[in-house]
Amino acid sequence: MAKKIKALMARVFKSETNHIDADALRADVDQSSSIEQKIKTVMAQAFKVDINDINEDTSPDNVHQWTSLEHVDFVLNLQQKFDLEFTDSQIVEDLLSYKTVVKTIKTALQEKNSQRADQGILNKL
Amino acid sequence: MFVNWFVTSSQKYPQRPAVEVNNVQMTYKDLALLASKIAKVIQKQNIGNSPIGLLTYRSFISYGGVLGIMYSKNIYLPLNPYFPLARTRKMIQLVNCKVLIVDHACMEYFFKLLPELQEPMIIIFPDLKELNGISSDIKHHFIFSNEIEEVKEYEAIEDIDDDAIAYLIFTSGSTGEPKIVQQTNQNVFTYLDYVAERYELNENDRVSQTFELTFDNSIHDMFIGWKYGACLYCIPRNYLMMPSGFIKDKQLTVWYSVPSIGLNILRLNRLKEKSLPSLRYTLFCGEALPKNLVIHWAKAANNSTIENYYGITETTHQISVYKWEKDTEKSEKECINDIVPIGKIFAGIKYCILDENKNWVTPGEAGELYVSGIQITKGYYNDPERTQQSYLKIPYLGNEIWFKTGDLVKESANGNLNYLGRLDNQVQILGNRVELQEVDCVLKKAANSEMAVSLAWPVKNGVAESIMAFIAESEEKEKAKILAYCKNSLPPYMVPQDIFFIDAIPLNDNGKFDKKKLIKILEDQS
Repeated sequence: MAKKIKALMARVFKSETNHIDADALRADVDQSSSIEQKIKTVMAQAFKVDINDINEDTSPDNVHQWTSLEHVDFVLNLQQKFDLEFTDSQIVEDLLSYKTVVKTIKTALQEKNSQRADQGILNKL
Repeated sequence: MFVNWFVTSSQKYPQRPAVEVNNVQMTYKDLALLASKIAKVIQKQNIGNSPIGLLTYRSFISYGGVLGIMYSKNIYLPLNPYFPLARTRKMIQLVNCKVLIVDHACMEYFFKLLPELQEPMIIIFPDLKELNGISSDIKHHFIFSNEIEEVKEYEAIEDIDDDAIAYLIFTSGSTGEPKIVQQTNQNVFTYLDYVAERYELNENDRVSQTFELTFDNSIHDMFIGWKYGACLYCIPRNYLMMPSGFIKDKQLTVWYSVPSIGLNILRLNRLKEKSLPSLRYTLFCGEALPKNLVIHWAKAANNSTIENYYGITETTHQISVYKWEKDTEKSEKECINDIVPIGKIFAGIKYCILDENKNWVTPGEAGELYVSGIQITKGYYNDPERTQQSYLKIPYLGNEIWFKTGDLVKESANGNLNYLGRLDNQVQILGNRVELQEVDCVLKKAANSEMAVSLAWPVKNGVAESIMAFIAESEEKEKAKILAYCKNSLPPYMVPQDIFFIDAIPLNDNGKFDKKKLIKILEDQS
């Protein structure tokens, strides 16, 4: 039922939700350098690499310290830093290179913001 | 013979899935035909009973290759595309391997390895019609898939030589040179036949394969599953980091891994109550098993029996097993230092627990475990010196040869053993036994300094997570170069996670490197 109401509200307030999403996105874009910087910091700590050596291609293929144990540390630290909880498939498929980590986290943050926005509308109602 | 277990199941369940790789299943019949095809092409080479390198990675060719090499009555030498090229080249050279089987998953690695292969070789590509850019090679003889004759039938193998070597496994050696363990058909059959009786599996079971082929436990999953017509689920490398989703999606009924993988699932809070109900059996091996993990696992896998195995490659897989009792506090009480016991030694294996003078310890006291019996290997390949050090007679116990495990154990009044640690410099990383001296050897060469030492750290829940190194008489700026050298010389699990450069390595009263002080440095800085 809650899902239905949410979908209905989303349709009714389409322009408003779009507006909120756009705002959230802008906020993300404004902070994108800091998101990337935060990811790099967590990555450098988890895999004991120099932050300046991290680039789009950084992955377990070229960082030998990126073992399964360190990957779990990395995932836990990312969850804590961004207040997110990753799904099983995100952990084993999407968080396996710097490039895809950035993409996954930005998408997850956007989704979280949009959920918050939806929740805000529902609360107002 | 255990290969015939597979043949029998292929005849009984030809259309049932034998193995699943990357969401694609292969039936027993098709896997048997693939194995026969590979066996036939090997036999045509007239090489006798020789080591055949298997450079494949979690593919159908891996399993068709293992079976095919066994069908052809040759010895399989598992290779690993995640090992450094120099190590693979050395493995090939040390056992005088003249034939390689390569799958498409390893092509990138193979192209790098090719210039390193000095001796002419026969290289079989069962799933490749050609090599882009290389149609033929002056030195080596390539055999592509379209040149391999199809087969229509398969049958059980006869006249199996019990003493023939089934496969060769490389393990870490303290002199810097790996040791080569040779497991005979009889060694492997004795083990598999004993453990197979412990499980009531059938053709509907779904068995995990977490181990690499270079880890001999992989044989357990294959043949215990295939004996009963079950399907082997080859877990993709990335899923091994956190496989609970895979267990649920595939509804696995048997799980077998090192405890580290279970700890990853626990740390990510995925062992929720009744979250893994499909599991009927959970087996752990290769590392100290933390009590905490088993307590959580038992709640998540609420329908599963949980067992802790203990063994060494030289003993041919496992030699003791402990069954966790879920509903009472008995098992919890039997843990020492929060580590689950390794249980009772298998019937059929003789054992004794001795002090440093090879005298029996008082019952209940700690001592070194020695084992003997037909499951235990007879010695290292082409290495009489190290064979003599570890496979020895104990005069007052007769003429029998005993394998000196190097493991410190303690036997409780009810016959269960508890593992207390190593007597030497060996550590276990992700289930792999690592001689730290082998790492030290490489570090010294890389740093051009004698003042280099490695140690296992951190140790959490009784499990060593990684190797750390200390080097004196070198500089921080050399770190990347030294790590790169290690990476090119050692398998991934043996490469130090980090290197600390210090002015001098502290020494203890005996003039040896003081590892306790070095661990203190690591603890202080973390």
